[in-house]
Amino acid sequence: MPFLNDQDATIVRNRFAKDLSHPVSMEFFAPSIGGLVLPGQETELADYTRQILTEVASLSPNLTLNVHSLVAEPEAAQKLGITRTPATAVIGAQDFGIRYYGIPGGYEFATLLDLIIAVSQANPPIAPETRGILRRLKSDARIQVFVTPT
Amino acid sequence: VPKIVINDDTEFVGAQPEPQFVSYVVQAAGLQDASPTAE
Repeated sequence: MPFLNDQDATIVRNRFAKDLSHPVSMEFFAPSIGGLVLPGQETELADYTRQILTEVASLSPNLTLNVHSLVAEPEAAQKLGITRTPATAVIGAQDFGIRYYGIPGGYEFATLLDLIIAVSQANPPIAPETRGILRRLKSDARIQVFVTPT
Repeated sequence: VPKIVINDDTEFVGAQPEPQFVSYVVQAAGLQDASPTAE
């Protein structure tokens, strides 16, 4: 059963057609991809997340989904700073460091769409004063946002 | 309600107006030309 019904898929497709200005790739990491599953690995959430991302990627020619295994591709995971799954790196013209951990279901589906578009446009809607302050930061800021599934 | 953690040492709960959010980022990362007494 698809995650998106026809009506919702059309809404998302139209939004991408309007707002997805540049290509975006989603680098998705599951514990493993088929085959051997190690004891203790949680695969159900990863499988469902992969299904959601597959449906989303099919809604725009500007979206690409690449599926990786954390076990089989540790170098790719290390390069993107990913140590746990399910994880999705959302990368546009450059890697802004956006990482989505967990399943983008419920209200968080809207969050996924917003961040895909933000990465594509590479121009977040923040105030000029905020940009000025952020340019003066002494060091990088690693911002983690934790939410409970809804 | 989201919980936000910045650089593993500054945290807050709930949505914040942009200036307040930035102040937390500054608290965690510091400013290059901030005076020692400025907070």
